[in-house]
Amino acid sequence: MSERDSSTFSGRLDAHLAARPRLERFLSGVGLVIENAIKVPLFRCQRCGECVLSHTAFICSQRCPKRLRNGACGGTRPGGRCEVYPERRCVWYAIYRRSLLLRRVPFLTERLAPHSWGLEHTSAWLNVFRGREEWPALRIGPLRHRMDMDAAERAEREEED
Amino acid sequence: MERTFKDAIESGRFIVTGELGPPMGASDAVVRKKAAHFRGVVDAVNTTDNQSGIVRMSSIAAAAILLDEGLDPIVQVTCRDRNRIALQSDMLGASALGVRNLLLLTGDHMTMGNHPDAKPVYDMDSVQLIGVADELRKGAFMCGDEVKSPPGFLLGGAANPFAEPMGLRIIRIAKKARAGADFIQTQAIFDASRFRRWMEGVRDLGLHRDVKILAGILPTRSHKALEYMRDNVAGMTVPESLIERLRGAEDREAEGVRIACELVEEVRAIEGVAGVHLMPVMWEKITPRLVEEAGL
Repeated sequence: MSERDSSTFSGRLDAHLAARPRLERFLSGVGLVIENAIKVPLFRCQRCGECVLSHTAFICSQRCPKRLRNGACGGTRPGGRCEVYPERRCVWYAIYRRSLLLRRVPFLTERLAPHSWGLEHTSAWLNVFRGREEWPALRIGPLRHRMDMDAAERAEREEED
Repeated sequence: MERTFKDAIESGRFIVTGELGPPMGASDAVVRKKAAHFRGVVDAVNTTDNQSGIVRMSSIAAAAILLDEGLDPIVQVTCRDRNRIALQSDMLGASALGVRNLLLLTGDHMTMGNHPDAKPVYDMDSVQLIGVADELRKGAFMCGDEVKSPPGFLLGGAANPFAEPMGLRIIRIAKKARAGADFIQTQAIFDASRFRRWMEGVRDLGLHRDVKILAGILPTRSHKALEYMRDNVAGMTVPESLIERLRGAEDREAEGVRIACELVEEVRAIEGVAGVHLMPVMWEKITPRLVEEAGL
């Protein structure tokens, strides 16, 4: 969780809510009801409170038995089936296929930080506004299908060499 | 120590690592006996972390015995059983015992092993764990606090070139490289042509320049072991033709060595392969002969 910065909107909101537990509970409750009503049926959201849907082509990666946030484990069975539940498709297999279709593969190359487990079953949207998690990847544009890291980072590495 | 992993990586010569599964008991003699087969023959030896979710002696304890035997261990660390507090603590402890190399893994799920009802931890994944270990060696805990006398590790990750979809696997290697990995050890290769295609993808992104790719070779003399691995080990692909070849062989031991040598030769010829990782499961004593016959 990031430190509170009173110069930003999210920092002030976070401080405001932290000082008012009843308001915080109310807003979080309302946020969760709305969010669950939308995200559970549409994306089979697992309510982790730190949403990665925008990085995973709108398939919830938290259905993975290992709760992976950075791509498939090495145990995937032939045909892209899950190591733990062979009758199921690996959720990361589905995420990759849909990322290709929606041209969102570049988002898969972004390294996602370890989950803050304290945010489980809280409203992810409220957490975004409070600065407790990063903004979703909303940008659309020239997202060509390339598996590479973005050009700036590559140039930077070459400079270091 | 006669040979170390760091020297091998820095020298630029073809690297050879081995693998030792700690025993399902408390005897150090078993570890020492197996270690003798690797001494002077390989650059480093992996100690596995309760592989397949079957309870064994801890990988760090086995590594301490290997150090005592004059071998350079690569300690495998999985996310299955420990949270971020225990993982960071164990990495510091391993370093204090003399461990200089870590292989950081997500870990086979407990349902694959002998305690399927255990609580899955998976506090983070292997990409994140590599990042945490990298920060640790740079002098910071995950929370940002300073590490007093940080550990000097070489960090590695695993890759499975045979699991689908291939594109996603290569993205994962890129992520591991950016997180701080120095080397990658692959799942056992039985199908060299598929591995060659995977290496093309790795080279396309220039990843072979960022991390040393060590190709996994699993020497075996038993077709039954291959059948078992095909059916029970996570992420393993074994072609039928290989099982038939071993079943039909007169001298299975010689045939097993021949198959492994052929695979070493094939992967060695591929651009970007920096070494091999030998996994002689239940057949550690073959390592010196294999290393000699394969010209490693």
